[in-house]
Amino acid sequence: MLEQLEGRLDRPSFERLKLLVGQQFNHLQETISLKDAGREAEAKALVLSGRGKQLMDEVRRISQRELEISQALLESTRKDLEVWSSVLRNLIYASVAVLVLILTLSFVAVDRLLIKPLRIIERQLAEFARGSVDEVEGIKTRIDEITHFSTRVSQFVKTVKQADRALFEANRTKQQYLADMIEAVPDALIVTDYAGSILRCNKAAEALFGYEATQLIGQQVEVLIPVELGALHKKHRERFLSNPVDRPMRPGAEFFGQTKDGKRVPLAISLNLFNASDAKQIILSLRDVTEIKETQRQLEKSVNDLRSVESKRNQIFGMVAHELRTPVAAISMMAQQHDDDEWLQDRDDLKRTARDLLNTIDDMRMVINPTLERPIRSETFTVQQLNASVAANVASIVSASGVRYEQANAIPMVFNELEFSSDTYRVRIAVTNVVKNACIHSQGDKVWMISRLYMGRNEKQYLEWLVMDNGVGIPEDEIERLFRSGERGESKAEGSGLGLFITKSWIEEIGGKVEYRRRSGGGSCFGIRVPLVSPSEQSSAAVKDEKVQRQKVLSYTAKLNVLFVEDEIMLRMLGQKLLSTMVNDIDVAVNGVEGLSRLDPTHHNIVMTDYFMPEMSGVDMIRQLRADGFDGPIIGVTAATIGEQIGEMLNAGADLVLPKPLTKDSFIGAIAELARKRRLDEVIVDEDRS
Amino acid sequence: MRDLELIVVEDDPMAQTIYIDALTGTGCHASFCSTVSSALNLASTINPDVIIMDLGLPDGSGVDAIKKITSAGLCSNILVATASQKIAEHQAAMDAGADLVLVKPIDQDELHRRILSFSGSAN
Repeated sequence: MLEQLEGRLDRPSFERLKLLVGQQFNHLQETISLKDAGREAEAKALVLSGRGKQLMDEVRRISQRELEISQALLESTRKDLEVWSSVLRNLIYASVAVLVLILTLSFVAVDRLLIKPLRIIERQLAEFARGSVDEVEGIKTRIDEITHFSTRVSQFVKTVKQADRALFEANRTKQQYLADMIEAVPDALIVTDYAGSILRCNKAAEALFGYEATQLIGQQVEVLIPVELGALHKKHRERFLSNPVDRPMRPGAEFFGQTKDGKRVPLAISLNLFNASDAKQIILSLRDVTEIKETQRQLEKSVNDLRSVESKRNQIFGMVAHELRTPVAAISMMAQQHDDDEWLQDRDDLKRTARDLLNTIDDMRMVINPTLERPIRSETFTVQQLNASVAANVASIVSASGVRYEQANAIPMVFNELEFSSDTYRVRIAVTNVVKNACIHSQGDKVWMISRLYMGRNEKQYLEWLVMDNGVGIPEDEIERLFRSGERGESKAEGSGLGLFITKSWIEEIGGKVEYRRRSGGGSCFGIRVPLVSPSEQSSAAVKDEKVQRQKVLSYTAKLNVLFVEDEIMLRMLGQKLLSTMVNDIDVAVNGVEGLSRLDPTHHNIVMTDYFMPEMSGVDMIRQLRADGFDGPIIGVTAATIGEQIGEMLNAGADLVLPKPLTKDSFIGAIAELARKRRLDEVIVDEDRS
Repeated sequence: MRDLELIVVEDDPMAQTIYIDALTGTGCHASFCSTVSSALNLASTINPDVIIMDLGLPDGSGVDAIKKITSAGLCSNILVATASQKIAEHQAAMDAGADLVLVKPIDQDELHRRILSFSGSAN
C-alpha cells in the first residue's frame, strides 16, 4: 500500500509545485519591493501583467491534482486497509495516539477535503492496533508536507486576493473621479439612449431643470421640453435616428427647455453620439442662454433706437433743407428780378450768397444721403477772387477762435488776373472748410493759407492751396481716419462744414487732390490741389452751340401759354414775373382745385405746378389732369430735395420735375428737354417746317 | 522722388513765366513772390528745398535776403538768377550763401536740370 502511495505522489510534480510557489513569491516580493520603492505604476503593471495569475493558476492546478491523487490514494488505502485490517490490527495499536495528534493538527491546517479521509484512516488505524511505525512515520511526513504546502497555498491565495482588491480599489477610484468630474461640469449634461429615455444627468442639469436626477432617469427627454414643442421634438429625434451621425443641431435655430415649475428657458444645445459599453447613447450638453438672449435683445433694441434717431435726424435735415430752400429760392429769384436795377449795389453778393446757401442746402441733402452725387458745375474764377471769398467765409470763425489768420497768394503774377475754370464752389468750400478746421481743431494760435502752383510730373499745372497751422499736428495713426466718412478727429471742438471726407471726395471728383503733410516745425499742413484749366480750353464750340440752342428754345417759349400753380404768394408772384418775360401768356392758380378749374385746354399748352399745396396737391392735380385727357407737357416744381415727391409727380404724369428756385436757365433747360422729347411739337410745328 | 518745395523770388512777370515753363513737369510745389519781405515770410512758412533768387528786388537786395535766409537756416539750396554780369556781385551772392549763380537769359534746359539735381539732393 505504502509503495503504491509513494509511487503515485511523484516527486517531480511536487518539486515543480515548490518551484512555482517560489517563483510566485519572488514575483510578489518584486511587486512589493517596487511598491515600497514608490514605483507604484510599475508595481501595478507587474500585477496587471497577469504573470502572477498564471503562476497561481498553475499552482492551483497542480495542488488540485495532488489533492485528487491524495484522495484517490486514501480511498485505495482505505480499501487496502479493510483487506489488511485483521492482519495488522494488533500491530498498530501503539501508533494510534500519535496519529490522532497528527490528524488533529492536519485537520486544522489541511484543506477540509483531507479531513474526512484522514478520520477514516485514523479510525482504521485505530482498529489496526499497532502497525508498522515506520510506515506510519512516512505518512506523517507526507501529511506534514501537504500541510505545509497547503498553508503556503492559502497564504498565496490571500496575497493574490489582496492584489485583486488593490486593483479593484484603483479602478473604483478612477471611476469615482470620472463620475465626480461629470457632476462638476458647469454645463448641464444629459445622457439618453436612442429611444430618448434619460439614463443619466449631472448636477448642472438638475439645477437647470429643477428636477432631482432620480426623477429624470427613465423619463423621456421630452419631459424637459415645452409641451407644445414636444411632438415636434419627437419627430426631429426620430428623423435624426434614421440617420444618426454627429452633427450640429440646426444652426441658427432657437431651442427651449421647460423646467419643473413650467418656466421656459432658452437653451444652447449640442449633442454627440457615443458607444457606451452595451448600447449606443446620446450625450447632450445644454446651457441656459437667457442672459445672452437678453443682451442680444437689448443690443437689437439699441440698434433700432439708433436707426430711428438717424432716421429722425434725416427727417429733420430734410425738413430744414426744405424749409430753407423756399425762402432762399425767393431771395435768389428776387436777386434775378433785379438784374436791371442799377441801385442794387450788392446784387452780385446777394446772388452769390443765395447760391452758396442753396449749395449748402444741397450739401445737407448729400450728408443725409451720401450716394447722391453733387454734379460738377464749372465756373470761371481768379485766384484773387477765390482767396478773397475764402477770407470772407472764414472771417467769423477766425475772430471767434482767436487765431491769427494770414493768407498769401504765391502764384506767378501773370496768373493773378487770369480766369481759370473749375467747380469754383467746391474749391472755395474745400479751402474754407480746411481753414475753418485748422482754426477750430489745431490748438495753435496761427493759421496760414498760401495759394501757389504745383508743377505736376504729368506736364500739367495745378493750383494749390496750402493751409498750415502751428498747432499740435495730427498723430500718424489718425491721419487716415481723418479722411474717412463720419470722422472729425479727436478734437472735442464742435465740427463745422462737411468734414474732410466730403472735401476730399469733392476735390478728387474734379481731378484734384487733398493731402496731409506734417510740418517740420510742428503743426499740420493740408494741401488742396486742383487742375489748372483755362476757360478757353473748354470746348468753345459747345458754348457756341449752347447759345444757338438757347435762342432757338427762347423762340419756342415765346409761343407758350402757361398755367402756373403755386400756393406760396411770393414764389407765385416771382415765378409769374420771371416767366412772363419769356412766354406768350401766363395764368396762375393757388392750388390744385383752382388749377383744374382755371385750365383751358384750348389755350394753355403747358402746366407748371408746385407739389405741396392746400386743398389739392400738385400730384393729385397732375393725376386728375391726365385723367381728364390733358396731354400737354406738365412740369413739376418742388422745393423738396429728398423723399419721393419727384418720383410721385413723374408717376402721376409729369413730364419732368424742376427744383426750386425756378430760374430762367432751369426753365429754358426744361423747355429744351421737352423739345428734344418732341413734347412741344404743336408749339414749334411752324418753326420746324418753315 | 519726393516733391520739391521751391520758392521763386522774381519781380518781373515775364521772367516768372520762364520759371513756370522750366518747372512744369518737375513735380514741385512752386511759390512765387516778388519782394524780399514776402520771400522771407514764405521761406519761414514753407521751409523750401530750393530758392531761386533774383538779386535786384523792389524792396531790397537779393544778397541781403540770402544772408537772412541762410543765417536763419530757412533753406540750404539757393540758386541766384541775375541779369548782372558783374563778377563782384556774383561773388557777393556766393559769399552770402548762394550755391550757384546763373546769368540771365537763363537756358530753360539748364534750369530744369539744376532743379532736378536739387530734387535728387533733397532726397
